[in-house]
Amino acid sequence: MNTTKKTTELEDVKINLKIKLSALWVAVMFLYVYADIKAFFRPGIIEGLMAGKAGDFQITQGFLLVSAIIMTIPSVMVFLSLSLKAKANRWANIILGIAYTGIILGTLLMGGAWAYYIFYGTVEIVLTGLIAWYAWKWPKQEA
Amino acid sequence: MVDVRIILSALWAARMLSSLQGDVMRLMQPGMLDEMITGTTEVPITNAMLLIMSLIMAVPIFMSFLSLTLKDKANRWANLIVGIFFVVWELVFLIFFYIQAPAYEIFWGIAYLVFAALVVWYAWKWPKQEA
Repeated sequence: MNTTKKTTELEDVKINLKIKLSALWVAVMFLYVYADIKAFFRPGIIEGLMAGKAGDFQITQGFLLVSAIIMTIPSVMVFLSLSLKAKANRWANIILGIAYTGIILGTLLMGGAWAYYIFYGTVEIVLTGLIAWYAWKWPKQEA
Repeated sequence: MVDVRIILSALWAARMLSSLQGDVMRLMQPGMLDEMITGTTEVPITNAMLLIMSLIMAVPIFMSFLSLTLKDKANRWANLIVGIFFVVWELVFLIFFYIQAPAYEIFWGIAYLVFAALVVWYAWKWPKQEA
């Protein structure tokens, strides 16, 4: 007698690339925010800020505006990765993925980073590297 | 086309991430920490003020989850209502506070406004299907 045994397995769905890219930007943005908040715990940082200095930088209107722009782009990419059409989406993610990998690499290469920042920076580089990589390998379909 | 619910959820997450980063950056603004220590901030920091701000800022966090889980009709209305609330909220802040504030505050303020406006737009244009 044939007994057909019903097996079940956990439901699994393939997550669309756009959603993965959006989620990667969310993750990397959380790391940027946390790394910035952690900085406040380092001795001397608050005194420096009160004296108008962020590390080696003088805090000016221009400095804050440029930082604001650099930190708004990843937030906007959370949305644009979902809404842009494939071609523009792919290029935006390749270009910005590489650009942000470069920016963080630059902050690490400036030297003098504390261990916590080397950790955050490394994970950030991996995530933005993944963004560029995933976008580069964007799946093709017949037109 | 990505499901509208996922876009709405991502918009709330993006809104929250940018305001979190904006709030951190505000601490770097020269004079801000001194004002906080001496209690001379433009808007006095009280228990009630912090509670109200916490409650209001918890809303986008929940919306990021609710946009994925609420049933379509309730989902759309929740996003329309909360979205419009935040459009008004951001406009009030832009007009009454950020306008005299440094450029970076105006920049962030516009970003929050755009995210809230996009929520309303996407919820309004929620795709229809035959019943």
